[in-house]
Amino acid sequence: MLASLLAVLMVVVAGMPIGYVVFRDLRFALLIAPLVTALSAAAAAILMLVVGGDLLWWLGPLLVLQWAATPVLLRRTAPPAVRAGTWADWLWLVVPLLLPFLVVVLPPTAWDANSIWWLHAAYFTKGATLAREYLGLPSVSFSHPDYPPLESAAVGAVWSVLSGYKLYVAQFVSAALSFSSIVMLGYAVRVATNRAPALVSRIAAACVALAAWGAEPTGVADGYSDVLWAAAFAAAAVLLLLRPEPLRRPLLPVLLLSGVALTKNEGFVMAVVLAATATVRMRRELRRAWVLWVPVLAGGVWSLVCRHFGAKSDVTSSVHLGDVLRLDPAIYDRLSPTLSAIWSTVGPLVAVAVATAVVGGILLRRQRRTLELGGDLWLWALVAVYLAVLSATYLVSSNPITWYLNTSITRVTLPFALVATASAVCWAVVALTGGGTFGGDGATIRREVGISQDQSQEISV
Amino acid sequence: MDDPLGRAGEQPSTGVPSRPRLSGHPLVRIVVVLLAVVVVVLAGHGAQRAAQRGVDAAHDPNRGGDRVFETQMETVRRQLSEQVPAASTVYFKGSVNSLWYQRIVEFAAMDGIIVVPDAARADYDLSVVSAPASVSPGGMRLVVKRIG
Repeated sequence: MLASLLAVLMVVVAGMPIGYVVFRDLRFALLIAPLVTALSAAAAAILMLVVGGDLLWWLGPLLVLQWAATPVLLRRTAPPAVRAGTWADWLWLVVPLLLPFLVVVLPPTAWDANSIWWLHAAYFTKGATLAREYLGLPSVSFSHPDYPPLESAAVGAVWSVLSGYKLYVAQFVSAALSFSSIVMLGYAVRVATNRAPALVSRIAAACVALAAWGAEPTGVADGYSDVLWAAAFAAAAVLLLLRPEPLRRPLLPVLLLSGVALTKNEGFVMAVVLAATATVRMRRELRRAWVLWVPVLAGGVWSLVCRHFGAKSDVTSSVHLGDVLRLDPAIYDRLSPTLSAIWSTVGPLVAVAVATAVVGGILLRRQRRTLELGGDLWLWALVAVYLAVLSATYLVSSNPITWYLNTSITRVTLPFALVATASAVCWAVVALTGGGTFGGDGATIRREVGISQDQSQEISV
Repeated sequence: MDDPLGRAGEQPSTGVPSRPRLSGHPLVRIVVVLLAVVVVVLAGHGAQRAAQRGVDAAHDPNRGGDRVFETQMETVRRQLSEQVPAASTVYFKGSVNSLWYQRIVEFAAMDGIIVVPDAARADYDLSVVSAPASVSPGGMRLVVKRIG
């Protein structure tokens, strides 16, 4: 247990500088630090594979560089913080998650955690030569060596420091990453509903964060990475699609989007979709939107590197475009059970969320605008695209459909649940407040802090 | 709350008593809130189950999860480390989709051992068999045979 806690401490401390650059607040920096460390470890793993050497040879200098660059980043990227987050905000984000996270003490025996993520972590600790060999080994093909490296690199980095390859250490590190991602989802909702009364906004944030346990309650802390990418994806979507002018300070959504792109293949696809959607939404400021494509680039680099060393994707390698185009029944017969499984897992939840959005969209649109919440059609567009992506994945896979659905559907449908819950909860905030904001409208807020609208815009840059 | 996305000129809500300006038909607002509550209840069911399971496991470590399998994994892993030198090649007969095949590949990676798909290229032949728990904790044992 001591080693596991030490491991969590390591991933927190290592990511603190960039976390502080993001939040300007040590308490909130703690919450995103594990994700920052994992992103650094993923970058180190890619560099190791491309250039050579060991994981720590790359990660060490990367972290030192981050620490050294922090003062510069604070000077160059920081808008002046009007006020730090309160303890109440912090506690509302963290405390509701603690009890459901106790599942982290369960035995670290989850199938995919061992067969995929921690196996990859193990060979990442062995240096470039062996790691490259493993990527192309036929005996390892079951473990999807093409899967992106974020979680495995973080676990591998910790294993490289703490000897013994303890599985509980891996489980705690994996859980810390999921925790970080889920808290960021809550934070994103808190930020998006910032103009509502504080208590309403905090409860909304907690409700959406608690949806991350979905239909697979142990998935947050058993070493699987589905919650990690799904929560980061929903958080980035809320920040980019519901907030006004999200590119004025894009660091947090870009970090989250990077986590999405570097955690799972379907995450990479959805990172591309989200970057494209956000770019379209912010088409009037394309000059700034380029930054959203950096995570896509990172995911693309991983995809190229792992394939260069022989890793194969079970999905893309089993696609027969000809069969798809000539409507082969063997492929399209898989559609019905796929949609049925998706419906039975998240259908009712999504249906009620759609009803909420339709009623709200027709009758409370004006009140929503007052809260400066963007239209959630953008969110539902993501849901539609993900439905298409997920269905296509099940269709073209060579895995037996019943087995494939039974072993994955509760995990991969989580993005539907999270986006749908975020949409419904935001509408509830609109309905509860009737569009009333903290102390009135934006003009009132600006008067309260003693600045003009022009000054406000200037500061927010 | 500090808003890392900017709009730093705005004062975020921080619990100061506020009197929201009510608008919208009350019935509509109630319906929307009730619908959202249904969504939250449906979505939060997993967290509630996880909390229950976590509390049970924290109270009694033997109640949650498969402790026997955990012991078997630890045993087989320890025996692999003790009996097969690093950088060896090993062969494990069995489907790649079988549980012990995948565990052996995982544990082999931790020790820098390579699992090869045919026995002719291997230094060792491995299998996992049942054994009395008094002999091999958990009731599974790794059998290692030198090839050649």
